[in-house]
Amino acid sequence: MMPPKGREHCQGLPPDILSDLHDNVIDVILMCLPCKDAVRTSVLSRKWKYHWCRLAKWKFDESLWSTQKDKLYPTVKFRKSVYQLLTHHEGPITKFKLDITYLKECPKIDNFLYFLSRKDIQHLVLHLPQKKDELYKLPSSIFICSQLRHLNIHYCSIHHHPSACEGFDSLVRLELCRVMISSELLGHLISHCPLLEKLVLKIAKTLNVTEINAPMLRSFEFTGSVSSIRLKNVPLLAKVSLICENSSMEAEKFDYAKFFQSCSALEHLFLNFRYGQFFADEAPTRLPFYLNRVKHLHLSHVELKESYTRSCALCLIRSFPHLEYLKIEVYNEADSGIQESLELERFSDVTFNHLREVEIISFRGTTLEMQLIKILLAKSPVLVKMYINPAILIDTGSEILAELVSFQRASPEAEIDVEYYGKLELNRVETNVDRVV
Amino acid sequence: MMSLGKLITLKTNDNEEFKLDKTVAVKLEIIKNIVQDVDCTSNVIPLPNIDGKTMTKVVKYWKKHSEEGVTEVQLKNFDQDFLKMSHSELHDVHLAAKYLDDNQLKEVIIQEFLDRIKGKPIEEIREVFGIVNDYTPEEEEEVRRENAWAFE
Repeated sequence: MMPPKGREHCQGLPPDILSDLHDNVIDVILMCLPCKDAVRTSVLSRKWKYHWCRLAKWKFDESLWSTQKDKLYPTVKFRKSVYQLLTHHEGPITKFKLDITYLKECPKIDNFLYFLSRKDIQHLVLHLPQKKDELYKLPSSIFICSQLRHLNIHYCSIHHHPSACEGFDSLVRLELCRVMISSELLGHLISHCPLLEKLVLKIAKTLNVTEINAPMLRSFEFTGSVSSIRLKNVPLLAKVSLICENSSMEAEKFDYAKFFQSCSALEHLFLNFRYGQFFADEAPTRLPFYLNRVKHLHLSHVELKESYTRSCALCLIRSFPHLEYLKIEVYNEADSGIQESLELERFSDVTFNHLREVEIISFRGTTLEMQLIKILLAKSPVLVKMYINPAILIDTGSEILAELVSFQRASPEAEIDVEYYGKLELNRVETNVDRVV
Repeated sequence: MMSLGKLITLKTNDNEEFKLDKTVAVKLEIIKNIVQDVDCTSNVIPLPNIDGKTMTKVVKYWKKHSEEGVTEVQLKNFDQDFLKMSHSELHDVHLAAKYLDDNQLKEVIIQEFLDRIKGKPIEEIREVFGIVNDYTPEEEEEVRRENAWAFE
């Protein structure tokens, strides 16, 4: 309804418009219902019989086969509901989510995808059964869904020649998890999505290197073999998350300089070393260039006594002169007894002039951790808070605490905050809430 | 242009008047339009589609939500209380919010409707929306059969 203008609004609305308005409200409400509930509204009254057919957002998932009988034959139920949709639906379907991750086999959905491609689909989520040996082969009709803005696919294989894919002019977000795809097709697909802003990839090792050419890309999350990715043209990329995971036990060499050389806009970096196998002994002291816009660095699963991950972590910390927030989750068994050192002198030319907050998670008080904390405290003139979350019990009177307190702090404002186990017990709820925030 | 005054009077179709602080009132697109468009010497804005009883509720909602220093928790508690009304009153407030183009209030009401019908049997949904079942028992049975997968 248009807001009234001028003086005509004094007449009021005729009653039939009011009753239409009333229906319109119900329509809006029904559109928010889960699809099964929406279809059930067909028995409300004659008028409602086919109302659900115009529902534009659909979600098919486990809630469809809720009874025991359905669970025995979920694909039968699935086929029935798809058939109903195919025969009755009117108008566009802008959003469709199919989550059948736990079905034993993948039903045939080729025709259904073709149907969606003609329904102006904008937001498509396909989470298919997790069958590693026999992934569902995605039909090429996916490439004619030209209105797509969000595409999210888990567990399938996409085997097509790049020429079958003209790209998606409106695609803003692409997520491919556990998807088999050639590096050629993947690179082609990405470079043919001119508006792509967010890319999430969790893919098995590809034969060749995938080049990422995405001028609008702002956020990139990657899980897999990092050496198989090359960021080529990403002028706006501000947020990167990398989980190093080698599918085979094959070690790889991760060339930091090459990887980050195009990331001039990077602000936020998360790096998890957990499953990475690297053959190089040491990363360079620092990157051959500074990344001046990085403010936030989060390193996870950092094994300080392992020389490669240690040197990687230090290399990155040194290469981001404008870093403001640093979080390190250390991964350490107890002190190995081997006397290694972070070599303080290697930091002689470095100061962390913008570092305001440091978090050390899973702290055990090993020599290397203590050295790292010492360096950070001594080299950060504007540090406000050093937050330490220990993985061991630390008493108030312990030597570790005494040592921490004795470290020289470059910033007069710096505060060291150690989470005691006792306090953690007492304030568990509060602590959890804090972390979520 | 409307003369500059601190208060704006909204007048419902049953001639009830509500005086509102202008800064509160002009936040609403529709009031702003009227204030800008109507060459009006008085500060009275007629609301021909809204009755006094409904407007009392709407104004109560606006006042609470524009209160200075009001906390999230207070608003949540207020909303909970505010929404304790009959289905038909809820419809009236929704229509008013729609007419006044108040998206926030509209969303609150739609969410309340959703909560009232979610997982409820068909009979209760009919009651919430005042829908009369005009199916014959045979017809209703047929519809249930056609869409059997949704009723299992």
